[in-house]
Amino acid sequence: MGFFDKIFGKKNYKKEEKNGTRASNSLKVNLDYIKNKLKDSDDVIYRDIWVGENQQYNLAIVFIDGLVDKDLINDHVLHSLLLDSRQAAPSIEKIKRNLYEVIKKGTITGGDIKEITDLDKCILSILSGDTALLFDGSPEIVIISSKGWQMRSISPPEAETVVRGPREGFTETIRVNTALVRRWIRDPKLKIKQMQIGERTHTDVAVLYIEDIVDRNVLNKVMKRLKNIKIDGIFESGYIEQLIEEDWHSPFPQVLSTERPDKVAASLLEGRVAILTDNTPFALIIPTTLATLFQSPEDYYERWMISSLLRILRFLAAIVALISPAVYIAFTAYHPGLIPTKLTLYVAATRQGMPFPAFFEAFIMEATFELLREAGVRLPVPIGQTIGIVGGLIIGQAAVQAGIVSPLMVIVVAITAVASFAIPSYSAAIAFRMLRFIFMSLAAVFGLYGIMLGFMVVLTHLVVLKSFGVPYLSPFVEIDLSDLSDTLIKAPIMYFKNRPEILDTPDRKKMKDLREEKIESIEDDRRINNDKKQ
Amino acid sequence: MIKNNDKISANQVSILLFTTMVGAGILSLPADVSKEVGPNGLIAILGGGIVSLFFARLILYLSSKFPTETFVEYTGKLITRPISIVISIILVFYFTIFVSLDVRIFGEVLKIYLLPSTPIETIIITMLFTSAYLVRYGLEPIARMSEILFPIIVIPLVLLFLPTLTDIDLSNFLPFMRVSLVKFFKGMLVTTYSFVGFEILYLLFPYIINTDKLKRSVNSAIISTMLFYMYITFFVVGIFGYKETREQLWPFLTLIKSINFPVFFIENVEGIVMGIWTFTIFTSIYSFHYFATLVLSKLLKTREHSYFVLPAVPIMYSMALIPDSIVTVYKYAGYVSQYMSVFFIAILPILLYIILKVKRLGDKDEEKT
Amino acid sequence: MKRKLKIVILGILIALVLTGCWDKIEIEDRAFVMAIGIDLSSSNERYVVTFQFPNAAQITKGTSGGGGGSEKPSFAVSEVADTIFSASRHISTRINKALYLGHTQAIIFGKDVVENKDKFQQVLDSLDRSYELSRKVYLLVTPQKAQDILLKKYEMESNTGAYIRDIFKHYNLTSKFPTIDYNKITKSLHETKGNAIIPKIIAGKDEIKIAGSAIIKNYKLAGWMGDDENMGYMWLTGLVKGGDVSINMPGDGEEIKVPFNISNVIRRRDVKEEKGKIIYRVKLEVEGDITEYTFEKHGEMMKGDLLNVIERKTSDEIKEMTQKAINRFQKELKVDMLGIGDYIEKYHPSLWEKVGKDWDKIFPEVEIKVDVTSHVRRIGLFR
Repeated sequence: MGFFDKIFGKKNYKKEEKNGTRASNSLKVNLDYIKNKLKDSDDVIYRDIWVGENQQYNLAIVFIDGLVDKDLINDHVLHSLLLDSRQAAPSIEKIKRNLYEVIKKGTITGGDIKEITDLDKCILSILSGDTALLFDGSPEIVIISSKGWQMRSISPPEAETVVRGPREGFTETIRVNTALVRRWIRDPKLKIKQMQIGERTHTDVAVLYIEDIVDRNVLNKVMKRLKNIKIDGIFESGYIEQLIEEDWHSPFPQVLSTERPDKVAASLLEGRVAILTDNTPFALIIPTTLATLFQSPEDYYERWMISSLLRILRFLAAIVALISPAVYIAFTAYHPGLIPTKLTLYVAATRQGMPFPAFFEAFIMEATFELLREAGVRLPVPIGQTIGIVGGLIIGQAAVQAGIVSPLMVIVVAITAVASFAIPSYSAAIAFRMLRFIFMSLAAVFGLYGIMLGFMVVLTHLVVLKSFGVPYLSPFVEIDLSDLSDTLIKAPIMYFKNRPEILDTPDRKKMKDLREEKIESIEDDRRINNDKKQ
Repeated sequence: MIKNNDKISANQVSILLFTTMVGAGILSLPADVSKEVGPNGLIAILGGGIVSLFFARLILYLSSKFPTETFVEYTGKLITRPISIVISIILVFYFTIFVSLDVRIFGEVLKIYLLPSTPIETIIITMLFTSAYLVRYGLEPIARMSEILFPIIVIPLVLLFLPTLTDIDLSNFLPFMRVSLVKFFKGMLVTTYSFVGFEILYLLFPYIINTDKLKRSVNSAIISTMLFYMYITFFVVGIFGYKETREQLWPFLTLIKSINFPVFFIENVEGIVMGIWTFTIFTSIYSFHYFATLVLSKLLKTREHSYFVLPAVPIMYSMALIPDSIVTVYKYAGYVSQYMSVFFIAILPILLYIILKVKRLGDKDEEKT
Repeated sequence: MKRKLKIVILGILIALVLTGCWDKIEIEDRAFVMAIGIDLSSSNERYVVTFQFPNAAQITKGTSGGGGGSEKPSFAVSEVADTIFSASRHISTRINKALYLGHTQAIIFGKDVVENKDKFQQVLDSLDRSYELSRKVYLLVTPQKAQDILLKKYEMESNTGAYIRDIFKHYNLTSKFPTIDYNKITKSLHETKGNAIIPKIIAGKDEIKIAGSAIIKNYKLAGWMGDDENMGYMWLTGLVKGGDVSINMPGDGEEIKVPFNISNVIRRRDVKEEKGKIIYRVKLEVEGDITEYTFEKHGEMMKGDLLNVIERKTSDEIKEMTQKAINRFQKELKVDMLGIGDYIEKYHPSLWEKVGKDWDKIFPEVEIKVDVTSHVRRIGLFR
């Protein structure tokens, strides 16, 4: 671990010890403080206002151009203060006594306001897109929520498309994202705890959970680890994921990321915790086990048989993506006796005169595939297709015809590629793709035994791994039969009466058992039919 | 590093016991038992299972009298500290020998069937390092590993044999019980050795969460092991007949070689079976490896067993290479099972039980097995 | 300290990986032996082992339209050596590939090997101990030299090993040779201390034929069985699964042959001891179809009598076959290949305790009774 620490550095941030600067009574002092802090920032707008019949009261609003909703400021702040206040002028007595109260409660028509007295917090709010309203003669500052920058509209999630299911995905704005989840769960027990992480970026991070369902141990762990993060900036939820996961040496993701609000909502109802991060459409779901990486929200929307078949298919795909090139190497270079005679002779015939040994051949082809994939991802879409053509036609076809690669190898690589994309979780698929190369090397040394050795090591890693206290391989370990109904197969929805056993959820019951009522209704139908006949 | 709380459930104990017991023994069990009792191997295994069950429950009873203490501590109370230390050292050796024997037999089989020119040293050392990697993390991951591997071991082996059901000649189990009683008991004893591994019950008790369910899980572990052995012996003897079976070194593998699977992609299922068998050996090895280091750490009163995991590897490695050939391996295995196993499975528990009754030690009086 | 240890272990593992690949032989560098022939050299002291393997380069030529048939589709090479094992090693000095026996389909023994007890036992042992050879391989005996069979090229299939395997696949169509593979032969040899039946192979001009069998008694060739005897043997041991029995029926002028096509056989056995004599009774219930009779015999089949006649004649025919086999084994060779001793041991253990010790002497005295009942189940599409 020391090695990694050296490379990635445990940089000790010298955190400025600050308890905040209290605002003074003087508007000028306050404004100067802000101006001093935000100097050389030309996008900050300061606007002095005089209000009152005689315009005797000095106010100032401060906001950042581009981050705020200008219409909101014009209509609900400036308009109210400058025009409306005159039409319904309160008694001078009142104003005299407490201008601040009057304006806050009686004049500003903006919806979301709060008051603070800390100038540093005020600056932070301004930087987040709020508008600060400062008063002369009062230390309180009114913060009007006026966030309104250009943002992407809600669009279908690109990395996780489904045939059946909602088409909306998260956006880059945390407020929109929390709203999306709220729309799924209208439960007062849904809690959204927001905090800011990052010494400089002050990124909003929201922890979502349902109070009486969530596994308290997991929640406490998440909270504790989030609070422990000391870093200058958080970009993307990937930062948070890596900072709070248990084992950062592991190739397997211990936190599930998703773009789909329905997936987040369903996970919350299972007793999991979700983390939303500002500026990214990816939410994190905690805890995550290997089995959840193979689930797609669509599994629950479709009938159970097809979902079960798809689940099995995905697990098979993972195994194929993991070992098929290794098996090819082991069988051709070590154990030709294990494949059927006719196939053996065929493979021997196709590999006749090949310049490379099987391992090297497989390695080149797999590396080429990864190369093509990477190039395809980076390039703009129209050119990306060209890469596919180049890869498929020129490299595949030509390599075979030139006699450098055997046709069977090309088939193996293609199957591996397709299989690795059948795994719903992209980060899990990456893990399998990486491990594939290790399996190939092991197979090249020990044949089939090498593959088994690889399995044993990977399994050891997996049984040791835990995601926030939950064993990574559960429910396959610490077996609970009712949990197994949502792993390799997906049982009919009738069977999911309880929340997963692996989570220690206070409210266990998920649904009422409908099976008995079904039988009753069938009997009702029968009786009605009999009556009709008579 | 992830800390595990190192407590396992009674269900996990059951699976851990099964995977520990099923090891290298299944290869030669049908031959050994056929040599002694001819066609009545199944009944001998049944008998051996019942005997093992009795002693397993006796050991469990003994350790349940001292629910928070391991073997080293409670034997110290029962049979004085020095003797207890001697027996504990022998126990460490006993487990170490099992690791060495299992890994050696594994290496030999692998060399013969899959990797004829790979040096056996590399096979042994890679296997031991893999085991050490797991064992370092303690009991909880070990139990989880057994849980994962259990279905991977049992389901394919059970299914693989089914296509040969039509080749079974039930008359191979006749004549029924025509062997002398002495021979039959000898055969029973031979099968009892295949159940070696439940001695870990001496040590397991303090690490179990729900100890009330433990009796049931010990029962189910030994009965399912017995059924598994019977299943395999049924197919091996049913197809080969006992005369052919007893001639084979590893009749189980010979049978696998002889099975015809017309529909499978893999023509010879040896490959699959070898893979699965690697897992069965692995489960036995890490279990014995762990308990050897555990006893050692209790003996030396160290906080963690993991200090001894890696240093044990070279010892096990060199012990595995002591026998010259596979013939000597089986000769040594015979000695170990005839003397040490009998001591730890039968003599020691009876001895401890008598002393316990005489001294009236133990915390609470539970129902006897 | 811990990190150093980790680095050392990592170093060992990397060294292992880098020096590894001990067993790696690329698939194209192997020669997949499909058939092995074993003969004795002229002085009867050394073996002549012949390996037949296909030319892998030729296999895909047919589909991809390559250079045509200038190359040989299959190779056969012979080697003289002291042991079978050394033969497979010596031969590597002459071919550019590593011999691989895992896909061997057939092993053919020349007559001289089977006639020499010591050599035959040695050969069998080397097969038994081999880990590469599959136990599903077919053993065959030829009255010629095994080398002659393997060195020839056959039009039907140039790959002789595959040719033999394919013939065995269709054994259900005929019962002319015993359908037993290596596994069953060794089992029989082990259990009876050296007695077995091994199918016989002969090479024609352009084809091979597997019919009849060789009888091995005490690890030595004791004689050959023809088609009829062989089928009789198979009737008695319950190996018949298909094939046909032809019977004579009165036709218009001369007699016509009518095939009785066997579809199912049930065998029941029983042993009795009467006045010190052992009576072994085999009951065979045979079911089958009539697939040809004679043209323009309208409705004859539907007349109850004809079928009875056919059934009776079939039973007689089968009985005659079994009698031939019994004569051969019991009277001539005096060797229990019919599984009678095995049956007594399993089902009448107390009787076996009495007779088991000198079963070889008692066997020729056993009275073997065969009852056959046949049933015609189907008569084809014509009345």
